[in-house]
Amino acid sequence: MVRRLGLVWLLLMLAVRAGAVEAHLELPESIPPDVTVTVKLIVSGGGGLTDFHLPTVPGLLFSNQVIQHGVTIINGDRQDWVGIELRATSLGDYLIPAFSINLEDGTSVQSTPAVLHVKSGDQRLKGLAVAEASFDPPTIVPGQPTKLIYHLSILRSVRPMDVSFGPPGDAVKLTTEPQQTTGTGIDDQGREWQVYTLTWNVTFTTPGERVVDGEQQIAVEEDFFDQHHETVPVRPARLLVTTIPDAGRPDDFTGVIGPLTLEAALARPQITSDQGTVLSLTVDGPQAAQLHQPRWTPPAGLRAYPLDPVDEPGKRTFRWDLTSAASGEYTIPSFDIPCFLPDSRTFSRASTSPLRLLVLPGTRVIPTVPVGLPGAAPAVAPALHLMPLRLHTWPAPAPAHLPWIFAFAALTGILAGLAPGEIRKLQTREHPGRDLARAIAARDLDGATRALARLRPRLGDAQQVHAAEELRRELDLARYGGRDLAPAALAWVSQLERL
Amino acid sequence: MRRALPIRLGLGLFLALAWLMPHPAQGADDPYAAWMQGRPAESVTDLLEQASLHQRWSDWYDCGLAAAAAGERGLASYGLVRAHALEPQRQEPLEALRSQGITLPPGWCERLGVLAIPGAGWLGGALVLVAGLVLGLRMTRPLPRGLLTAGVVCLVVAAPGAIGTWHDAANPFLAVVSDTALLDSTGAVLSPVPAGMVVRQEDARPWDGRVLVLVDGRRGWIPLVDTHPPGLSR
Repeated sequence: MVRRLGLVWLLLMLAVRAGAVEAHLELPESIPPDVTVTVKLIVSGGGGLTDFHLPTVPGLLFSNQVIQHGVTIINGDRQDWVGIELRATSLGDYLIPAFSINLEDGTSVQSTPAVLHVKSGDQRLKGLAVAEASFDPPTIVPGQPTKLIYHLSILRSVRPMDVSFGPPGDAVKLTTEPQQTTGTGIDDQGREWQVYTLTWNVTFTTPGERVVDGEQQIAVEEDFFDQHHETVPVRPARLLVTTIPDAGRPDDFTGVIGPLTLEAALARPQITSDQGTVLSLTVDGPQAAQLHQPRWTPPAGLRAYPLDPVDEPGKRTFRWDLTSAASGEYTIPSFDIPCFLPDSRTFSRASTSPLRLLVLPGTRVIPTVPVGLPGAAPAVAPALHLMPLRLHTWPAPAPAHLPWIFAFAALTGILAGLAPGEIRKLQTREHPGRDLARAIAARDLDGATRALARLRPRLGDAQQVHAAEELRRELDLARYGGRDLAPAALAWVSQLERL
Repeated sequence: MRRALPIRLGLGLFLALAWLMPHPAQGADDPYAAWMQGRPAESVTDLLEQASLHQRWSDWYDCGLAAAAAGERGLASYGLVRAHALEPQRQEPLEALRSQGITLPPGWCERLGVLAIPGAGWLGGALVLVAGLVLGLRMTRPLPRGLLTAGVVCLVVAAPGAIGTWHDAANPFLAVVSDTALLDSTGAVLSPVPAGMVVRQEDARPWDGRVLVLVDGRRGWIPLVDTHPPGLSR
């Protein structure tokens, strides 16, 4: 039974392996016409390939010779590949249909159809590197956003280094860091270039012409050991900042650049007088993030409390909390913002439609009137009683825990009071060396002898033993010989005092 | 240099305390905003959540006031009773309850008045700590008479508030949050109990989901669920 299962599993795995064989052409993103390029035919998951029959595609010329071949094995997955030369005779997109590839094991596999894009090579890509800058749009009015775009195109053998390029000093940067992207390009010889792009969103506040240039450093690798640096000038970007015309300028124009769209909405169009709703005004436009909250007067009976605006990319939403003291139907007036349209160089107005808010009678209790229990005559409370405290203090201990807290505090205090005395006791514990020194200083010969006896177990080396012996002899002479303690005894004491 | 050390230590302690002090949440939605704009009903939920989270008497007090302004009598009494239970020496919750027509029997803290303030809460703990410190020092060495007197004064000043708070906590009050009824032990209704009424709890142990209380001189049971706001943990 186990053998059968194993055989089935093996056959299944072989079938899976056999089914996993696939072939495809690895094509570049695009090629220019009349340039011969090398493309790869890759067979994955199978054995080596013996031959293949390339299809005939009008406008495409395949060489019949295999100019390269190889095998790559990564994590057990085998890939056999061959290099084929290819040339397109004209511009356009070419569909290369599936074709048959014969494998070494006698089987064959069909390639995946592929599309080859044939485009003109970029005429500007010459030499080793090309650096250029541009503004988009190249003409603006003060306050209108524009993009300063820096392109650096380099060949594969070139490495980008330092660049001295950036927005001019009087530019207002709308984003802190430039946006960076990478891509590829192809020149008219069919060579692939690496393209780095930096984009700054900027604007200017004063009219005039701006020219932005700079230099790009590159490192050119001739071979593994030979590398040199070069400087590539950046083709300058030009921007014209024109003035906003006075003719037709609305009186309430505040410099907003369009196009602009406004949308007003109520979170709830019907509320009761003890509820509130939120009025939102969404502004969508290039300068939405720079707009200030519009001022408006709510109709009588309504109160509006401004909330913080909410920002999204290219949008800003202003909000107000709306409350009503009385029921009724209210009309919220339309919002209207003038703006300047740079494309047509005319002024325009963005506006919303009026909104309708229906307020139904609610159950709100006026805060200064206290709420009494049924049957109990409500006392008139001073307004102070109904003002919130808004305190942010530490939470007090629960009253039930107070006895424990007080007991702990008392115990902690007692222990803290006892601590200095106990520490002092620890510091003044038995110290025969110091006792010896004190006894000698006090000419207490008996005490010194007792301290020396206590000191004996602590004697470490021969020098200390010798000092103790000499001191004992001096002490004996002083005690029983009736002579004074010799000055040398003090020297012995100093050796033993630290023990 | 040696003199500067205590100053530095003191400054460091002060900064640490300042850092530890609770601060209002910056940038968070203000639970009072709707109330300040005349919509107290919309603030009650947030204030209730804030109070149950922090367990500060002031938060329960504010929650009770907002509920009172919104006409929620049960929740108003509940918040004010909780505020009173947490710090019985404070007069504000009692006054607010009085303004609702509810007068609680005076507790020891209320009778003591300002005398109860030093001994209640953390201040009382600090005073007892100082008294204990003086006692501990006295046990190891003779102390100046002034220091001994200070220790005794701390103990005397703390004692009324400490005892009063402890005693008042042993006689808890319950607020009836929703309209309910006083029941006898068989479950028969004795009398209706309206939301907002404050009753004395006779026994801390619940029985069959009910709690023994004293209402207008009558002992009986009320359902425990009617003494807590819905959704709030006990």
